[in-house]
Amino acid sequence: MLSLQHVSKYYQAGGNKNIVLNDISLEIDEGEFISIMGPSGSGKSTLLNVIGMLDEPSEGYHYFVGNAVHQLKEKQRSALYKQYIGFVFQAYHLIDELTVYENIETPLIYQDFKGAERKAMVADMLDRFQIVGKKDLFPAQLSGGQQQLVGIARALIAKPKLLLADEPTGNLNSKQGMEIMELFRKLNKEDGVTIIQVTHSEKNAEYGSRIINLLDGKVDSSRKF
Amino acid sequence: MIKNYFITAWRNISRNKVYTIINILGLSLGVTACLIIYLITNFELSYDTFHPGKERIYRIVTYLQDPEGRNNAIAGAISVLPMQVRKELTGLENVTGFYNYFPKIIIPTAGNTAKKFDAPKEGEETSPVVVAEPQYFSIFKYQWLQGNPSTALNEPFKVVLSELEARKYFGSIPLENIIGKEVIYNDSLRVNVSGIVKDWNNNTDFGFKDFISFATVQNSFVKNDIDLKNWGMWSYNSQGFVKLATGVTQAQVEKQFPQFVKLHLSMPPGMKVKLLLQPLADIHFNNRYNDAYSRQVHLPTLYALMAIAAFILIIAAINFINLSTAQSLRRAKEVGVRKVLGGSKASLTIQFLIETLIVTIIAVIISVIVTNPIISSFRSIIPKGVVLHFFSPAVLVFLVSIIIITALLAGFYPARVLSSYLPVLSLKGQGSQKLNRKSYLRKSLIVFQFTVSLVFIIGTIVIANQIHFILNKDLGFNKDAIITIHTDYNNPITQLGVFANKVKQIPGVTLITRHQQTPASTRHSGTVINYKGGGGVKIDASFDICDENYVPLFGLKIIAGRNILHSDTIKEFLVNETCSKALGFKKSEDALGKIVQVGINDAKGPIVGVVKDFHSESLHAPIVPFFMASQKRNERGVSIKLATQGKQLDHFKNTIAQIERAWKIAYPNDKFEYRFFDQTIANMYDKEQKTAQLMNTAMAIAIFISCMGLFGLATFTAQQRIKEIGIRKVLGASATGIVAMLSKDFLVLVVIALLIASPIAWYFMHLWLQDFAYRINISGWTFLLSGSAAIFIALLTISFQSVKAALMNPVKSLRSE
Repeated sequence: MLSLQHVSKYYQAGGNKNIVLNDISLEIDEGEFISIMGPSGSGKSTLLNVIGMLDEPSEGYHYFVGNAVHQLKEKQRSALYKQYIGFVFQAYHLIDELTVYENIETPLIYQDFKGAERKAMVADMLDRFQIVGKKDLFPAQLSGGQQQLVGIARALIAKPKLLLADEPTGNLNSKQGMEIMELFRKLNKEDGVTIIQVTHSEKNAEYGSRIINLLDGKVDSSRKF
Repeated sequence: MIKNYFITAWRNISRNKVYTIINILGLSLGVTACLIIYLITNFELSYDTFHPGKERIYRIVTYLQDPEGRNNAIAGAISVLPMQVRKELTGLENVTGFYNYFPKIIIPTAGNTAKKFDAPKEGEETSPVVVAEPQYFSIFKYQWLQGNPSTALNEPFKVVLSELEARKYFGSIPLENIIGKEVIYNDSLRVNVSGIVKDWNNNTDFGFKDFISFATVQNSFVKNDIDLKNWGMWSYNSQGFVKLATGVTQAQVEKQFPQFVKLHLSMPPGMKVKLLLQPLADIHFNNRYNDAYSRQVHLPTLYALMAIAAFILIIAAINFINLSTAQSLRRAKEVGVRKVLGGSKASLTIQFLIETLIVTIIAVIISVIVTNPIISSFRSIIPKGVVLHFFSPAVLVFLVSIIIITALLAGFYPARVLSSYLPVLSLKGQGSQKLNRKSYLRKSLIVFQFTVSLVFIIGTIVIANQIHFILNKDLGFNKDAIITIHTDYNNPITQLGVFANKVKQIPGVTLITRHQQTPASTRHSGTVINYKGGGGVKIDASFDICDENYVPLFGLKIIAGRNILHSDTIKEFLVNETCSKALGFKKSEDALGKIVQVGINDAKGPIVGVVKDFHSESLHAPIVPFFMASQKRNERGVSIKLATQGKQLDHFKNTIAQIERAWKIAYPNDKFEYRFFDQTIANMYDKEQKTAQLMNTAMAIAIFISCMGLFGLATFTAQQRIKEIGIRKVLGASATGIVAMLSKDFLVLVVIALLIASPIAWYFMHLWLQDFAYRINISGWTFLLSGSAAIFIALLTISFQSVKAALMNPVKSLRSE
């Protein structure tokens, strides 16, 4: 599904080159559930952002569903990820001014879905996540777990093939975290969504089918279950 | 999509109430200022632009140059001049003369009660009545409702009325029945209505409504007013207008004038006369030529106003930008999320522009609502007739363009900046980093705004001080509880005696004096005093004609000699110190008994007394030589001193009501009009009062706008330094310490502004004060006071944000999500 070849990322800080990703090569197939682990500053989030096209690598080749991403223009890249990728954040990043319903609806608006279609899709999603009763609430009125649920619903609304999650359970208690992980597993098994998550928790990482350990911007180890 | 934009925009607007209110107030202020100034300029520039062939219509004006080389511009002409121009000059399609006339009007009715209208005051009011040649209607086109334009004014004793005037005179009877009805001007000029024209709806200086036929002049007593034989009398009321034939230039006609002047005007040696043509479009804007009907507007002032309007709007927009970008930290997260969800830069730009658009529309709605009330509260400076007609196409176009321009001006930059945030950075909370560089720009803007505010604050204080000074200065006479009444010159002088005797008996009246003018007046006449003894001196002097009560009633102080006696002819003189000195007397006592001759019928007599100097003119001018003499038949005014034991206005009212009853007995046909003397003096400074009002408004606007800018900057800084503040608090800083730290930076800006503003304000106020012969000194404390006021206002503005920042729980600001 996607392939990174010799990808590096560095910042110029004063006279020093600050290397975040160092010559990473990675192949990810459709249907995988990958957990990226590693200590703080090892480049986990940056790697995730590069995969999600939010950040550009300084060097290397990046292929995604048959497209050479490193050669694409901003607009084409944006079109590509709108179609294939959903994002989940540690801090949920819901839009405070929008209700649950509107938050979930927003990606559809940007992808030019018709009003009636949007309505049906959002209703479906609310139903599936059992948050119909909360659809008119604003994010501030929800608990952290509920907010993350909305965040995931929003990430999934446009039916992405790839779900990227940056410490999705980092701000949640262990029970809420477990529920989210169960949900990810279900999405992966039943709907065939490819998932890449960044996590600190060994327990959560084990929900995945492969664990990649990063250290100082390099792949330290990779093991499959 | 659009609906979603509007929902988000509206929620953002309604959640940040403080910002929204400040933004809306700021923008409405800018828009209202713009709108009012637009209405004023539109109004003024539309004067007399509707006449067919207007570019060929000119007024004949005159330049007189006296032997000393002084130029005197006269808008009027010699009464007979237009007729002669018509006969002798070529290249003119039409020539007309018309004459402003200020009559009383009586409309006889079938019953005994005739309708009466008072005469307009010449020199103060415009008169709707003109005596016009028939050609008037060939140059100025009207729609004729009744009568024939080519014959209506041909015969004597005819008048053409405008429709509104005809209705005013004769009520709502059919117009054709009004033809032939009688109108009586000045009691005995009986004329018949021969035509009715529709009133012009457009703005014009030529708002005449009664056109008396010119042929009437020769056949009636009007020939005494309009002298058609004399070539030596220039009158403001005589107007000559020409319409050039097509293809003829102004220069071609003006070339013929010197020959014409040579032929008809024999001037005294040294005097030069020059006839010129003044374009119709110039009449409303050229204040060199005075006449009895048009109102002049200073064109550069109008342009300056337009510049100010644009300026205020731009500043308001810049403040809007400042405030919006100040919120960027909060908005950055939203932008990041929206981008991750697939929002493009364009869609985000549109979203922010819609937000601005909504705010702008609300601001414009508020402006439209408040504009008319504001205009009416500024009636003294805004010309009559300026009104907001919301549904007029010009206004709608203006409003829509203002909405679009403002929304783009205020919204484009923040929209661009916000929408270009990189999601990776903004989601990590580093959204506003790239804005740091621009804080110099913000700071200079604040300095600039406060400089402007301070100039206005200093100006306001100086003007208020000067006005307080001139209104409270000891003028050398009493001005309290005195009312003045002027009587008509046409009444026999004995009636004034009757009136004065009746008033004397009213218990609330202390004293009454008869005089020509009051001690302080803008209308004192001038003449020469000639002292032949001791080498001989001849000086110019102002004077007043008065009786013996004048000195005690107004509290003038005689420092040598005695008061004058009341007499029928000028026999003796009371002079002021300045006059006595100018005549060459070292001590006031030396002047007593000396015989002087004045220019009033060469009257001769001794100086019997010297009064202490008093201000016979406004404080713009220094004290001039002044004398008083008695001459009964010229004492047409009376001043009445009211007893002040009650000191209540009610008490005065009662006394004045009794005076009015006395008036009705002495002058049954005349209107009772009185003025309080202190009010008359205050009116001398009308222009200054208006300036003060303008300054106050400008100051309020400038301060408000500056505070808005400062508030934006303070918010921005407080947000930017939120982490620093948190760390300082953890390390033990007190809330007061933090407020002080945050405020210090801004106070520096205000102090810089004060340093820049002080010399500028001093320079302009110094110039303004030069206009007064008696003026205050601009003292240092004016600047100190203004500076403290500005600092206080700035502190108040900043404190809202800095206190909030200082009281914030550091745990919150230091927590990284």
